[in-house]
Amino acid sequence: MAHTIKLTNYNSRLISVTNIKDTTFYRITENNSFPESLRANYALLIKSPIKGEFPEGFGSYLYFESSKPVLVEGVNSFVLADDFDYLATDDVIRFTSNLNLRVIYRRNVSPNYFMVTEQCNSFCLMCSQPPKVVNDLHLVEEYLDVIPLLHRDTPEIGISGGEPTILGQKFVELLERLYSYLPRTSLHVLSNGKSFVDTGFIAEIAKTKHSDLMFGIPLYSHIEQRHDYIVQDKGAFNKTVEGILNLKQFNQKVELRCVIQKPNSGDLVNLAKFIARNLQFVDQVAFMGLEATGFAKSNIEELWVEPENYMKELEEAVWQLTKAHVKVKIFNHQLCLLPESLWRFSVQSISDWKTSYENECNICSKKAVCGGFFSTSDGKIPNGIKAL
Amino acid sequence: MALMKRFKSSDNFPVNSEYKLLPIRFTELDNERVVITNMVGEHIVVSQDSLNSLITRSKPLDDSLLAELYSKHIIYDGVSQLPLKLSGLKYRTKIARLKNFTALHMVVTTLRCDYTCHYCQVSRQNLSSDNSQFDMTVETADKVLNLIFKSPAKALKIEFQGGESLLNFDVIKHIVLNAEIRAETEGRNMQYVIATNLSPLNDEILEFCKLYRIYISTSLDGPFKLHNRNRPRPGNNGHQLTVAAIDKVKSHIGIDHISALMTTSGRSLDFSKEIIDEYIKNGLHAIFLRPLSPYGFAVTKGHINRYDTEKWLDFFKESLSYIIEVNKQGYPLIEQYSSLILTKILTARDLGYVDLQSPAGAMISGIIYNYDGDVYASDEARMQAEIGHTEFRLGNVNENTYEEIIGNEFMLDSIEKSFAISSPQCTDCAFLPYCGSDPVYHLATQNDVVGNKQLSGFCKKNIGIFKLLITLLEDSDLHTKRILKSWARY
Amino acid sequence: MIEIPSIDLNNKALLVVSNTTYTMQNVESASYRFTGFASFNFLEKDTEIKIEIECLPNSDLTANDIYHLLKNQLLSESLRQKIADQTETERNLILAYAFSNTALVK
Repeated sequence: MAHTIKLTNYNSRLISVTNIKDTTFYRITENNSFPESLRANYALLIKSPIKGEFPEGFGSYLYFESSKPVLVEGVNSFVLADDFDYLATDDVIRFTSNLNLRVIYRRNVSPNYFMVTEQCNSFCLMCSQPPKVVNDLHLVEEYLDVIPLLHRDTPEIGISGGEPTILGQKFVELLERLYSYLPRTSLHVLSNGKSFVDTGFIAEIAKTKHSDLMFGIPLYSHIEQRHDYIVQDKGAFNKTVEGILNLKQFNQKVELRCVIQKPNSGDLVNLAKFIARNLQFVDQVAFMGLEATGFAKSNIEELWVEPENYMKELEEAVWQLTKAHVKVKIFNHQLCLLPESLWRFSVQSISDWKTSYENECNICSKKAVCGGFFSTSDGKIPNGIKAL
Repeated sequence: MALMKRFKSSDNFPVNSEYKLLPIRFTELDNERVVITNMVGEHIVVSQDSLNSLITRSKPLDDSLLAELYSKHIIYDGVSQLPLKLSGLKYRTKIARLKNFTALHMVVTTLRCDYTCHYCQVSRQNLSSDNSQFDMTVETADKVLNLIFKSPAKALKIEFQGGESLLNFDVIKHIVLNAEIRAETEGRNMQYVIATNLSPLNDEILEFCKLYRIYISTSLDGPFKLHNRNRPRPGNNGHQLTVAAIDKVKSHIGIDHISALMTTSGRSLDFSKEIIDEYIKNGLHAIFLRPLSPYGFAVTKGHINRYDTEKWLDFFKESLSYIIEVNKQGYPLIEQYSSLILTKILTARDLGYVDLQSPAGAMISGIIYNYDGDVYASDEARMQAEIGHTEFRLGNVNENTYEEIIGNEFMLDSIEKSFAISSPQCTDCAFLPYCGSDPVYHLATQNDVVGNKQLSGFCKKNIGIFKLLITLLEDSDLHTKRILKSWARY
Repeated sequence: MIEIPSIDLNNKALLVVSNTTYTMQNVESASYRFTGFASFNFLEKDTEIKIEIECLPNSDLTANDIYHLLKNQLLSESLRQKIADQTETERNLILAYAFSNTALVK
């Protein structure tokens, strides 16, 4: 039967049902001559009209609206809105029973982030993915199912949430499965680190012997209570740092992440000094710009600080860490706002589906290497944007 | 205030006003302020008043001071284990070099020398002296090598001294070649330094040094007149020879392979600017301001030492000030002694500088083998032996085993007795984490390995520098602070 | 604290303190810091500690100077004692952590 459905970019919509038996994953190919025995699990992406015989046997066929396709009877056909035109070979998509298309994985994006749960044991003021109290084991199960379909040369995959480690044994299972099917893929797990006060848990993780696993753990201030305030959890600082120490005891890689916001923008240098003194063995420190979405959007008055106001502080902090041989990265800052001395630390990091640019940017010589802005930031553009 | 309803304001996360002290020490910095340090040398400068309040709880401290005290591990909440764990880890890092034991091995290749420097404490022999009497033999060198490689340190530094070390270049070659072979088999990292006045420098020596990446350390006391007055030699051309040779080393071996130090004689005290300018003229980017050595001065009351030390501290202060100016003008120039101390103040690391270690650096960090095979705990100990004080002679490579040498009872006893944490006044001193014990110095000057620190030039000099550097870190302008901080080696 | 200042032309002074305010250890530590300028004699009896100060020849400080400086130094020593007492447990714990086996510091 031909399902003729027009699909738009609802990439982040989730369905809260307990069981998605009829979820269908497809790996995409643009190759009409794909081996016949494999076609059932693949979706053929048709970007230009098919010449010659219709390639039969694919699990489904994807067309773009603008090509005004002629559909063939008796097979699954889907017509996609043109904003899906980024899809390419080896991407993995999922259809649910009410025919929502979700792009699970994109070959050309690095890293792909898997949001494995929405549950969390912190409640950060600026959380871009507000936690939910919900049993959402189906999310991690979905990823466990999809892992075998991912391309083996994927350089990096991220694991985020909520708080991924809340999943306990399922989390370990996820790591194991990722290592089995994607042994050459680096893993970057975003976690608040509190679960790692349990060394038994880390021992389980260490047993997977993953070859390239890094934990990205937020540390917002050198002042215990300020960090606790930002994550809205008394005692969080202590647990997090203890977790970091434990991870290091098991030789795990640790990245410290600091989202710069009004409560901590004056602490950056002292935080750098604290890290240089007490946590010099971390593998890197990432300073991040605020994404004004989720809770950050609701709390924007208390959180937003103009980057130009903390640039001096940031420069000194980066200098301090670099002197101490700690690797530093800066995310989500536009190049025109950063002093040139910090450009080499800046990473073009906003996922391209979130990127937008201002008018000023169109005449900027550095547009190609600059991260742009969060389109999700709801128009929150910093002062001082100018073409370089 | 403007937070969404379900979020708690920062008032719900107050800094803990109830605290317990972590192990700390304090010392007056000036008339109004004190320095407080914790076990690993993290420091904070506060008013005398705040200190009293901190310890007696007579007045509440303000939140920003409390926050700083917490994050620097001066205080904690009395319950969390984390501050203790972190302190333990940092302490462990600080003393980690101990398990490597002796890393610096100084080898005196000959007593012969062509110079007659005024402050030299070695009973040097002139060039016409009998080689066989005053040069290290190859046989002795082999025994020295054996002892060097008995040390458990993975990274070994062999520093050749004298007299004029290059006058016995054959032994230097012999030691380097054999050390390289042994290092390769045993997986050790070698570094070689030749301390020399550079007058015997020739192409063969340059080639060899280049091949084995040897570092050259030479003396440059200042401009022409000052240098030659401090360091006379036949023909009185020491300065010209030195300057020419520095250039040669730079071009033939590499700019990173030459370093110079100066010794402050009485004359030098008035020429701080000229000395530093001389270093700049020669394209050197590091200077080591070395104080007058007290050895040889008999001390009854310590008065002479302290007087000299005071003058030297003035010289040091003036020199440092000019060095910082020079840096601000764009010429990078590090003062090495400050760099060592700033590393101790600002980082969790200890560079293992022999003279500032507790337990004493003598023997544990550095050891010296004389041309005749005698082994001494330090260079100063060797000099003391020249005037008849042989207490710190640990043995002889031809007569004693490694175990006998490092097990020397007098040495071990001295090390134990002179531990800073057990010495009066040192034990309470805020600068203890930066300082060291020097049993050789104190035995020489006060006839006691511990010494009364009130009378100690070693103590006075170091405290003077600690206070100077900490005051600068506290009070100087941003540019100066940045320069000083950049000298710390992480 | 009872004090009986006494200025002697022979450059001597006498400081008397109560041994409930300061311990003998405080007194010794404080006095030590002036051994470059004077010699001391201590006598503890009943509730008092008597400190006899006698300047060394050619001392830069007079006995009266030392008398005042010593009083201030006693305060510092007393604070130091309080610190040592309050932090004994922590000292031991930190050293225990430092010497335990961890893979953290290589």
